[in-house]
Amino acid sequence: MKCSLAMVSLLAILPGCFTTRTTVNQQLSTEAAAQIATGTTAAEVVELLGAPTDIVQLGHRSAYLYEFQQTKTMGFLAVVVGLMNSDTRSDRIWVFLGPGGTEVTHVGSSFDADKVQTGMPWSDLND
Amino acid sequence: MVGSKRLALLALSLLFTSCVSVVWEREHWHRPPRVDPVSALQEGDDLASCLEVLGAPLKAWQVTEGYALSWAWYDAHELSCKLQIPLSQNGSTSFKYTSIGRETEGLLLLFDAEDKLILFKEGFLQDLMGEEKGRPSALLPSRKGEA
Repeated sequence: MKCSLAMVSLLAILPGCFTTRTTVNQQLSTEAAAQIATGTTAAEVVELLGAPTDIVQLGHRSAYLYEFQQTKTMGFLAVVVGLMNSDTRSDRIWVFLGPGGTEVTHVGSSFDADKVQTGMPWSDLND
Repeated sequence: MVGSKRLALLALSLLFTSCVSVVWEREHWHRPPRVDPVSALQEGDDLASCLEVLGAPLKAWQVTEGYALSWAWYDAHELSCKLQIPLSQNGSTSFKYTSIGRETEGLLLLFDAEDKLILFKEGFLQDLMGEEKGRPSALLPSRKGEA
């Protein structure tokens, strides 16, 4: 009885730590992104990268957004104190198509999802 | 007797944990561009060079005859302290203080229909979006006579 009571007391006051990783959408291929250039057709873009996350109409033109987002959260929970820190970054590819939406005119890409960091709230996670 | 003291101590510690709590949260969401946009960009630059300098934007949308691109980021802090005091078997009173610091900073670029940069602004996104929304829309040539 005494032993189990001590165990319960210990478990009640022990601090807890956790880390989580959350992703949105599938990871983007840098190799596939590198194959997209001015003149690539919309069909080839979809063949290389799949269905876009979003399609935006820009006048007579359109743009496809491909996005992969990653979040890492770290937490520390003690008796009365909770500390949490989360970091979110993403890989993005914007493909701008010309009038009619058939051929690529511009491409912009950023690959930062793998740079997410974990740390305590006082940690400086900036690059 | 010893057992009852331990039980009382356990009850007291559990009571204490439910009385006071302090939570400190921080959230990083994206990062500012590595390049200082003010020195790297100038009006008249084309879309390709802007994408080369800043990478892919977070958002793109149509604005009158042209379009806008935006980048955004924040580093938010939240500190909350809660004190809860049980007054009776069925009631309690609590005091909670929360300090939140979160201002989304951003960069807004406006391009004309020929993909030339016509305006760029950096600052707090709320202000930038307010400015952008406040811009009067251009009248279509066919509608100018009606106005």
